[in-house]
Amino acid sequence: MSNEKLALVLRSWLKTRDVAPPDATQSAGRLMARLPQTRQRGRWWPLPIFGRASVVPPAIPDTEYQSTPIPATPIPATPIPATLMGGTHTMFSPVKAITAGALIFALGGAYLIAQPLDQQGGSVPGAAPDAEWAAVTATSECYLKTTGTEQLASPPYGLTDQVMACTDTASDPRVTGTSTIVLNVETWDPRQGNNNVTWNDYTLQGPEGTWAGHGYGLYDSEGVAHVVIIATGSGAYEGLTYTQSITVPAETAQADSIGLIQPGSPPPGFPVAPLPEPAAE
Amino acid sequence: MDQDLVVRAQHGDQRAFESLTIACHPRLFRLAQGILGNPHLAEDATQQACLDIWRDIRRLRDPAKFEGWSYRILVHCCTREAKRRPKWLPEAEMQPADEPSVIDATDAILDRDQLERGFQRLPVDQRVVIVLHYLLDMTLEQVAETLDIPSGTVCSRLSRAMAAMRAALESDARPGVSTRVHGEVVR
Repeated sequence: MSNEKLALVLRSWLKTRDVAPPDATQSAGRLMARLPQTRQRGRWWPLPIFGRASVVPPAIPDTEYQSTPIPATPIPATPIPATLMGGTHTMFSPVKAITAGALIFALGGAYLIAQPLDQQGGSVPGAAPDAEWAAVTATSECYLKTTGTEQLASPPYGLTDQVMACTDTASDPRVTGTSTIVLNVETWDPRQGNNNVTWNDYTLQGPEGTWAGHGYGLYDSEGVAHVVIIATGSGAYEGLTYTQSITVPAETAQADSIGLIQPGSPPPGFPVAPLPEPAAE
Repeated sequence: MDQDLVVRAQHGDQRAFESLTIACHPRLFRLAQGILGNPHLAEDATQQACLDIWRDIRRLRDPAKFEGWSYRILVHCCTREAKRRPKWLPEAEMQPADEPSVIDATDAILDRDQLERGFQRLPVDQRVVIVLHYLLDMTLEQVAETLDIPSGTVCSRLSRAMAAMRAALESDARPGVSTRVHGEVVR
């Protein structure tokens, strides 16, 4: 049998075998009943959601950018093809490495300069006198709990109050538990990295106490977030500070971090302000 | 496909997702029915695919590519459905022939049962290519784009599938020759 004849036979047979689909509305109704039990898996950090050209106003006059005090790359008049947003580049880039390194050294350096080691022990009333530092490695798996509010009308574009719920597994049990991150981003061009800042309120419920603080960072051109979170302990962790450096790859709900638990309070200048009261569930 | 519905579903809007489901269910079901040959299995696979779409829709980076992405999820669900089904059960449900087909006119030896048996012996990835190309009338380039695989892979899968179908039909057509269905020898 020739290919042509076999193709003709197959085409005809497939069409006779085709049946009318069930009522789509009824099928959707059955599906909707199952949705509440199906948690959406999402990217942890929101920049890739920001990064779609389709959600950005396609034509923003360059003059708006020129009038802003912060220099920014003008958005082209025509939308950037979505294929340019793909992750086909290598994950390593000098810019990313320099940015991440600079951020970590800046925060770490400021911490050391502001608070010499010999002064840390006595700086926090109630700190356990025999408390020691502990290096920590951790993995966080997060899902989107509450979608934040986007501001896409004019630069700087913003996302505020996006709530992420995470399960943190760490090498130290004191920082193993469930954490909540209330996330904000401000960006000048959501289709690119290296022009934004992100900050968050952070709480981690450990087995014998709570950590609360704030994080700061930025996204690089690959959509990778580099964030440092500094939190102070309460309960059994009173008098301790937990500092984490997190790198969050794009397109993933999981992130790895390195951290340090140490006695003492955060250095002056780091705003570990009281967190707002959590909203009622 | 309304990209706005996709974006809203990515933001957790269940109403938007319901509208999206109603819009895409018929084409997903048609593909599933083509692959599995059974409307009940096809509906199960379509429902599961829609749930998986809801679960993972935030990972879809470009809403314009929703259609191909949803097809790929469905194919994955059909593969699982085909594996889950006991081997001794017939996979295909025969539909009544309510209109004459080219098959009847061209070759009396070839009947739908032979075709179904040959088709069900194919791996799912080869069935998908046949269904997309011959039932949904996609070009090979469109099949490649939909499945996100190289065109050469589509061609080789189609070639292998056609060879297997031809061999199956010719084997079945020979009198006295045993037929292998789902690994079981049937005489």
